[in-house]
Amino acid sequence: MINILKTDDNILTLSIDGKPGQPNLISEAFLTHLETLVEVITRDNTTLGLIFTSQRSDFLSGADLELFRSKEKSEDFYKVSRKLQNILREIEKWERPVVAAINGHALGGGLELALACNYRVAINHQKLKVGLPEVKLGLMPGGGGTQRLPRLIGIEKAMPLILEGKALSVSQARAIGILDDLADNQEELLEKARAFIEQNPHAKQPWDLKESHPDPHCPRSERGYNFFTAASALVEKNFRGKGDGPAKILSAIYEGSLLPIDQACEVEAIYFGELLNSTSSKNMLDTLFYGINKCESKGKTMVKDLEEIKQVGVIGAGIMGQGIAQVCAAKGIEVLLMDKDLTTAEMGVNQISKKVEKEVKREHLSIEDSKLLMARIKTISEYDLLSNCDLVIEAATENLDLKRKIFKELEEHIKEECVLATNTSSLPIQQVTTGLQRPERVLGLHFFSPVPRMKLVEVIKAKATNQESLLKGLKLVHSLHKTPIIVRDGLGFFTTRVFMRYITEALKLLSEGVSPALIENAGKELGFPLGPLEIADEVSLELIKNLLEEKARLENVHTFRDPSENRTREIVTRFITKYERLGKKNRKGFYDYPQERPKKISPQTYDEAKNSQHKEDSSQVGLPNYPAIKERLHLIQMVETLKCFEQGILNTAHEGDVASLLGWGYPAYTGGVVKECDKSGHEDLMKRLIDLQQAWGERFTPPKILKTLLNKGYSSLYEAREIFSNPLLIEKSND
Amino acid sequence: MSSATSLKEVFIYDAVRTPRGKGRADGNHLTIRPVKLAAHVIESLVKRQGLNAQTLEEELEDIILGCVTQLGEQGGCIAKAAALEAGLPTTVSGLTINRFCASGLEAINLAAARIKCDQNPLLIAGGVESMSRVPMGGDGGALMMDPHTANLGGYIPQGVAADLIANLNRYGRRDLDQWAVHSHEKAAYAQDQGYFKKSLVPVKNALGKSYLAYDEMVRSSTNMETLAKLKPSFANLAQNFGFKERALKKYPELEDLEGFHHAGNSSSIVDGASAVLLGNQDVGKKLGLKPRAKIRSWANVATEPTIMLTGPGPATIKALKKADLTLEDVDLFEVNEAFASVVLKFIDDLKVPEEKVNVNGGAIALGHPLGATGSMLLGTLVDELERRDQKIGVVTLCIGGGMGIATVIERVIS
Repeated sequence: MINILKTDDNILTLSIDGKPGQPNLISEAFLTHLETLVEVITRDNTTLGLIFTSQRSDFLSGADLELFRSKEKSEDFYKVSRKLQNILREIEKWERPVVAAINGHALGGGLELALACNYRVAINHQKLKVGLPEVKLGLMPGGGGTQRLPRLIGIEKAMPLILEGKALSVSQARAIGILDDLADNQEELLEKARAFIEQNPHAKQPWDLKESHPDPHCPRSERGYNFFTAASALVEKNFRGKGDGPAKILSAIYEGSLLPIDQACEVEAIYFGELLNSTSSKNMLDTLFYGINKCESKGKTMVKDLEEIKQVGVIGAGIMGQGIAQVCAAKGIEVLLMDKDLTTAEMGVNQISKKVEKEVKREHLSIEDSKLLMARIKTISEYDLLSNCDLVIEAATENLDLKRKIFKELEEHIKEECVLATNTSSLPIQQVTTGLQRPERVLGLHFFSPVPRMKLVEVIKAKATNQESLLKGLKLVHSLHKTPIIVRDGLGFFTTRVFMRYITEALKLLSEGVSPALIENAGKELGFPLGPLEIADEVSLELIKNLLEEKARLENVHTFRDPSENRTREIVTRFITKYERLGKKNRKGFYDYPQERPKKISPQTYDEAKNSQHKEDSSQVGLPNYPAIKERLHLIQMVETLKCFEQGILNTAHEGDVASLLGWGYPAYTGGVVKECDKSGHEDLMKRLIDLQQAWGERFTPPKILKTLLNKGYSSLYEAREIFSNPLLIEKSND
Repeated sequence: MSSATSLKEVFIYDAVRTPRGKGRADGNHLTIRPVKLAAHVIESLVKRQGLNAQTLEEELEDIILGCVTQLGEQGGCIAKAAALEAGLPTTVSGLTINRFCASGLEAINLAAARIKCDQNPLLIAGGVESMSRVPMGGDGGALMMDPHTANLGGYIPQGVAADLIANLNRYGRRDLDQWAVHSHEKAAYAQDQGYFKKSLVPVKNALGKSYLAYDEMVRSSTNMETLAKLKPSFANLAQNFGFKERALKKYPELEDLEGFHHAGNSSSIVDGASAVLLGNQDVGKKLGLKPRAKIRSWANVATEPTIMLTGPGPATIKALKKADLTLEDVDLFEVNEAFASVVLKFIDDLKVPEEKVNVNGGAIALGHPLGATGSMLLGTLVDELERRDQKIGVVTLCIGGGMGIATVIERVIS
């Protein structure tokens, strides 16, 4: 696990060598091994210094999350933290020099080990990352990271790194002072480590020196007071809905900065214990780690056997097409980007090029890789050039007739085994494939915008889609390192369908006369990154209108049975046709978007509420109060999620949770919309829904599946697999 | 309390204050040590009332001073330091207290309580703050900077809270500026007419030269046009440091938090001190002191901490109830003008006539030396009740952390 080498110069090199096929992780066994080693080494007077490095491509990638799996009390988590802290403290208190020779990623506990060393030198490799990413999974550093990093580089610089969980490149880490030196290769790395040991036989940590320099942002001076006063409000604002981690991290840094390192670490460990045992942390870890892993491994072995996807055609060089082309090319796939003429396609490539340049600037991509990426994208305007593609993704505008036309053409020109995908956020695949000769080779791939940043892809199996095509689509998603969820066909699939409810419920509230400010604040208070009206502007009012009309068409009705649905449609139509408010894209939606000032809710939106003629339909309860507004925006999404289970659109709980977090910014602390359905028990949910139904209309009627869950005695949708529809992907038994 | 003790009436025998000097590097009180400011008002009071050393040894157990930023030269119990600096007998003890902006009035209420319970016949209470030498905020505090506490209380800076009051109650910039202009007009007129003379005790240096004879922030030239030029002071804090979001979390009916307050419609930053001589009836008779007013009642409240500055209304109602008085009984109100919106809100909440509020201007014009303001307002109120030959007055202040305070006094008509 850790290999020891003692050289003639009496320097010990400890090489971390974890489980094969895995990154180097801090497991229970690793901790115990390290503890024993450190005990022996620090007692041995003949050893002059110690080098930590690794035998593998990473240095140390953090904690093995199995460490936390079986723990059920805050104190148990606290103990894990203390154990690591104590070992690291022993290492740094040892009166001989210790160097971290960082040959690969040093993340989380890996960086914490390095921070406990007297000197950190790393290989100057573009891809090597250094950071404390714990917060992203709902956790926080527990190996002294919240204490040593601020002491090393200053509170002001350390705080955002820990709060955002940002991983730095080697050069960034060097510039900010985390790394002391860089080396070009493994040999130089170890040479530099040895040189430090020889020159600093009695190296001490700066925070263990008698005279230490106070941090200017420590809350012992006015500057520090003001810094933390603003920090706590900013953390609340910037990490809304992201769980308890950021607040605990901030408190650990604040309190720790007023204490000696030993007590400061203890404070960190207490916060760590409290956080890891919190619901928000468990929810986030469950969905953002285990849930995502599960989504990403679904069908993996079957997909492996498929031939590599070498060439992809992308129809439509608009924003979505550009994004899809970019991510494909980034993973080594040849892309043919097609539009009505070459000029239009070229314009798309120019946009991609700009994005790629930005990536280079941010050090996410090397110049060489960026050139290779761009070289993989070719523009075309003729269908017959697609004849060699393994997969063609149509990414035209959301217009059913246009999409149908494209697919008719495609069928004529593609090779036999080519699979076709439509990138749509809502249009049922079955509608798109109407009239095709071979609809079985068509699936839906719903990419999210901006494509390079959004990890989720909704993979849609239409009624006709065959297993091979589904797997091919899945293969592409795997190749792009994105997270797939597999859903059944239907208007809006899962994500758009549920997410749209957040918007339409807001419009219903507006039509009842609720102030838009109250609606927007309610959404944010629930933990959504944006209020529902802001989001409506982002997705464009036309898209919402089209969806509502498509829904009416599919339900074969002119007017919806639920009058509130009609009012929603009326508002959107009025804003589009009467006020020419289309959303953010024409700088006029429910908000106004002036050129040089921040957006503001439009007076017309306020008027919409003020002039509302509608009393709610089913009863005369007056305007909903703030808690009721929140409850409606919240529960309507749960109703729709349950209906998706009921109708087989969705058939696993973790996919629903993952998609809600990655797809529409559902508040991370909840773990996802499915966990929210389970949170307070289905009986309670039933009761709350009945209350809402009585007060606000039929759309809150508890879905039948809720009754089934109660009757069968499932306490969680995670356990209720057998009542869901058949899996959409037939997996081999060992998969 | 032993059965021998009976409740005593509490009389105000005298009140003095220094002028308020601009609390900046170019202010006229800058070179005066805070301890000197405090000592000066104590000494003036003692001299004016002819209290000799023996009397002080026998009757004056303690000096209670309010002081907010108890740090450096204002730290370490400045009340005791001031007692020594003032040359009082060494038997006189000192107590310094901090209830933010109400500290000076709190000192008086505390003294009143001790006199009322017959534990002290005579006390001096007041406050001191040299904001130029010991800037406010210099002492930190968990309410604001401890992330855990600040989150629980929903802390936003006071100026942002004042803007929040304005936004919620739809006070526009014009309303607030108008009050500010009015405050200057009233203060300038009162200054001109010599209404403040009775309590003012200018500080002199060792060479006998007075530093400042009047409150130096009052500007009769202030008008709507000059104020219109000033930029909002707290908009940046609200918009860019997360405080708007914190405010909207509690007040979701607002879409935005517009900045309305600026240097001209917020209290000015000044240096000053004040002291009040309080005692029971017997000690007054014994020493030949003339009672000017008596303290009828007082009250503290704590309201929603984020909006923070809405305490004066409920504190006033509570204190009046304790004195068995109604709002209509009150002749004059001194409402600390921490920010213009605070006073407008007080007037709206209690529906009292504007003409009874801050008749000689307020802290926007005169200044708000944090720890000293409460006792200064009390002195101003006694003077004005006498001048107008009126009876009942209320002093009230908003306080950080969402607190509020009010004291009800009744003039002794001889």
